[in-house]
Amino acid sequence: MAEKIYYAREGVSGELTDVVPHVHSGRLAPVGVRVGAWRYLKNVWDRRQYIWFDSHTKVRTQNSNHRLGSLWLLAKPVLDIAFYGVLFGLVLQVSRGMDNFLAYLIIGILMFQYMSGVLNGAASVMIQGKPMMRAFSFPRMALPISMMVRQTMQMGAIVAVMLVGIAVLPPHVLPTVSWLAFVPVFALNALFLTGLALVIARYAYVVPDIQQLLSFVTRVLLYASGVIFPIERFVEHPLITQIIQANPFYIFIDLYREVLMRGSFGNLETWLTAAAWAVGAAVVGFFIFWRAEEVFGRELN
Amino acid sequence: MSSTKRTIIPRVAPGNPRIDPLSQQPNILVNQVSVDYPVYTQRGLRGRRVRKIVHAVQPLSFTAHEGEFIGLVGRNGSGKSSLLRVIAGLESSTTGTVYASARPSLVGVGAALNQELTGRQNIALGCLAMGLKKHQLVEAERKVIELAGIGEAIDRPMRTYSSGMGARLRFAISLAAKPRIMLIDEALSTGDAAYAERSAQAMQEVLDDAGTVFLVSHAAQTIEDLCNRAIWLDFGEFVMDGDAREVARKYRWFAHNLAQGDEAKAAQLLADAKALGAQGYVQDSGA
Repeated sequence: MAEKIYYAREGVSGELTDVVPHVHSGRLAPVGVRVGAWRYLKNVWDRRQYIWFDSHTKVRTQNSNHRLGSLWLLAKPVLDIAFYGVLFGLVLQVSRGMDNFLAYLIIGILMFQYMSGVLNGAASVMIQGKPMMRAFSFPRMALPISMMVRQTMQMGAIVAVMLVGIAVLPPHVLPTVSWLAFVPVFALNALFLTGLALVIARYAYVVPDIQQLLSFVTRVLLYASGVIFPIERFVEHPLITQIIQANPFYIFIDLYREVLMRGSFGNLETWLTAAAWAVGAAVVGFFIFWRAEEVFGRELN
Repeated sequence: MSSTKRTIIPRVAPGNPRIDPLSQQPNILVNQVSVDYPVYTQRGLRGRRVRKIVHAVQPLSFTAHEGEFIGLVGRNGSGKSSLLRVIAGLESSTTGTVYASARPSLVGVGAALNQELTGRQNIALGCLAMGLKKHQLVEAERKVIELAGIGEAIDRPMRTYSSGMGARLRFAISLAAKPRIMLIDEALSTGDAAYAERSAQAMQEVLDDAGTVFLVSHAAQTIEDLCNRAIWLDFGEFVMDGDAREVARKYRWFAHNLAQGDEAKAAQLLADAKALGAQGYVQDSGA
């Protein structure tokens, strides 16, 4: 304990000798000081019941003010698919020459909405969590992770609709063994998004302007990740094509289509790239958020 | 309420022979803690925004012991709440460090926890956030409901609560984790006499359990009724530390003169108080 302990009111100063032993013995420990990374991870894990309860109740209550309730979870993506399908399929005819534009679009839109939903959720989660942070001390990382869990839980129903949708709508995509690979792709994607969410959550708390910027960024990503139509058909410049294909959002969406539509398990290189993005983002996100733990205590004006 | 006053020999200024560190274990050490805020001010309606540093708390040191119920008094903006938030570890101090024997838990009257959830759901949410486990929830919930005493409103969404009901529920939730160090920010002025009795009882249990309670209030009477020690802050500056009744009365006399518009006299009282406070712990004069 390098720090000297003082008793210093105005006019009276001296060392607080009787307290020093308590500090040295560790009975008195510093408050509000960031714990080590490993310890922090353990603390977050200790709050798993909180994370689970919080995400669960939020899924159930978030649409409770609407007449159709949780049905909106499904109705919204269906409307989006109909809109983009009509606009790009019928009006702009980008679907010409594609064997299954509908399945391509359904997978793209639904999986992309999961990703953009997490990004937007991450931008506001810490600000919405202020009352909780004011009232209780808990590792702040529990908040973005809970948001992540909530979004992922909601995907359960959406994925089911997606699989049924591409199988039922003509030209039918029939289930193959490669559908099983959807699970690891989704897991890697969730890990990637968790890392990204931690970074966004940390900076958007201090700079709320990021929320505004993010709605623009997600729109760019929508077109730059081959969500609605294959970019190869419109982009011929090799460098730009390479940049787009290195974009992790593109990689994940492409991998989803690979295992669901094309009945293949994809190549090893793609899998390794996806795994690298996932693990890399998660590690970087964890450390960036952990290092900022005290920031979330500050009242910002 | 005099039952909450216990015979406690508080930590006193250096040189006082009454201090016995072995019988009174310190729970909190505030060491050279100061808090500065950046604030943005705008002159007039179209002026430029100017960044200014406000010293919410000037460097301050003290220790708090087992069984002490410490009131923080002072005018609005005196730095009481800032100090409390730093002790809670919810805000970082600009300089200095707070040491504590257990994780302090802050009870505030701020916004509701989760407006859309029912009171009961909020109890579970809060308890889990504080680190309680699922199997402890039933027992904790029963105690919280009993203390909060808000009747069947417990199963209604919290957005339908009055501010008093919300404050009572939050107070009860933060007691559920059996905190050893409790920091209360003006949460007690809500509710009827029966509730006041129950919450005083609950705080007494914390004190009896070798705990320490801090209470922020600008009402000197509350401090005098509940606490056994008080610290007076004024615009972030330490004024005095001592027996709750003594400090509360001196503060009230100062505040009264200020309210009457007698600023010269108030300034004189404040200067006197600072001089007295500088000499060390202010004992009960028995008057």
